[in-house]
Amino acid sequence: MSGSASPVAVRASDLSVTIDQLDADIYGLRGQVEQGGVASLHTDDATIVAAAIHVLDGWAGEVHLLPPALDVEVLPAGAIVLEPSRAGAAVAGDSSLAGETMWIVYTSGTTGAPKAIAHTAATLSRTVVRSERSASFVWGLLYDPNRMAGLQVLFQALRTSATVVAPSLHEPLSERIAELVDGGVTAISATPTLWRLVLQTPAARELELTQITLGGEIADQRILDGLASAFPSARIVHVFASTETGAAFSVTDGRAGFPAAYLEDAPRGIELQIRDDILHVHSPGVSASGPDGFASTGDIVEVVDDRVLFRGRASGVVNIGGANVWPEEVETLLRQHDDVLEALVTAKANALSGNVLMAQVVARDAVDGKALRKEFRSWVRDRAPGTHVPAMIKVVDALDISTAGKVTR
Amino acid sequence: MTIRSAILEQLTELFEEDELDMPEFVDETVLLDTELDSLGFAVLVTRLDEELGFDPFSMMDEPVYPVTFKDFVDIYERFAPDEA
Repeated sequence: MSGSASPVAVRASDLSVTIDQLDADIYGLRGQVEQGGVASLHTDDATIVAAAIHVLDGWAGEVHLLPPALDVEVLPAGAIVLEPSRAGAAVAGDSSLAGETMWIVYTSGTTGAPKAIAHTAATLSRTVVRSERSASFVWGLLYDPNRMAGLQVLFQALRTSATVVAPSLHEPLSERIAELVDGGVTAISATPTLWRLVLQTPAARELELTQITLGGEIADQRILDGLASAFPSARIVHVFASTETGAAFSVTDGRAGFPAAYLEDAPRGIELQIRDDILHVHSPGVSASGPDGFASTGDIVEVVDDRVLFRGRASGVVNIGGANVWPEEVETLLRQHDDVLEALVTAKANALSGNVLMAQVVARDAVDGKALRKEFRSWVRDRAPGTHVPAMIKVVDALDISTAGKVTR
Repeated sequence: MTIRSAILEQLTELFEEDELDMPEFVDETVLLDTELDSLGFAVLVTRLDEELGFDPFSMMDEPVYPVTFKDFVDIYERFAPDEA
């Protein structure tokens, strides 16, 4: 196999594929689905997802992306299950295009069954900026490639002819970071949860990042400041987007939230509205949008001075003694404490108060749990109403993190 | 450890954590006369659930609101799972 002259498109843990190889359909995907047909791809291998984007976008009618293990009951009848194979490869089919391909991604299903969300290349690459700068990026992929966030990174990289270094998700984070360092990665997109872990990984200091993207969760001031100090020459972008609405808009000023002026002056033409405290974006191309083209992001926001700040997910609101509390607000408060690396706050039903909050905290140093508990509870009590003070605080070694890079609630 | 002493231990810890004045808890102590508010009792019940493995307030068919410390202890003793 040749292809050495062609730039590397995706460098996985055990395999690199070039643009030429993607063009040649090395996994033989296109021959397996009719023009305009419905197919599903079950993989967490970034080279296979990249190949699918390359040869199926504009050819297939729908491509459902699923993790290898996920149950297929959610798939429409008649969907072809793609079987990527290097053996029967390189049969380039009819090169004419059928039209727009729907890329179907599934939400993590934190509340019940996975939910299918349809996207197009246009909605997935809305944040892509074709510039000299982005073409020289080497992207590091820490996300699962079959999820929304990972798919966005792959679309972004393929559209700008940049290389993606995609270590296997089955390796520990420290090894994945080492592979990113070896691959000369200059740009990484990750959730605030993943970034906090990256900052705790010694090898991360060797990364020479020029582009840092945060998305998927609330980026608080502390993580923005931490990244700015660890990677002083990087441009830090936090993206506001959700699976439901596709790529939306981004902020680069290093401050939490986004400018309130965006509500009047649509950022890059994307209209924003706050309805019943929930941020809505004008996103007519996606399945979740209403008749007027606005889709709910599900994020509760609050305007504070010149800034729109995120309080939490609308679905995550907890009633405590009659007051609405967003667990994410308490997490943000806890993370502002110098001894807290990471925090997760959940609700537990209680017959006396409706609910109480239960916190798990990863502490900087293993210290006496009882003393820390007292310290952390009074930290919250001094800064928020009593309803926000967790009933229990457990000091744990690490939080559970999903393949989407978010803390498992 | 008896249920009563487990409750007292959790109460002491909670009063200490929240920097409240801990009164002497006797049978007749009226709960709402202490500095612990209703949210505080929700916290206490949560911690006792972790410690003792049951929450009587979520088990009762008709809600019962304890007035005195004795009422509170009685509820826990009544709903305690049968063991040895």
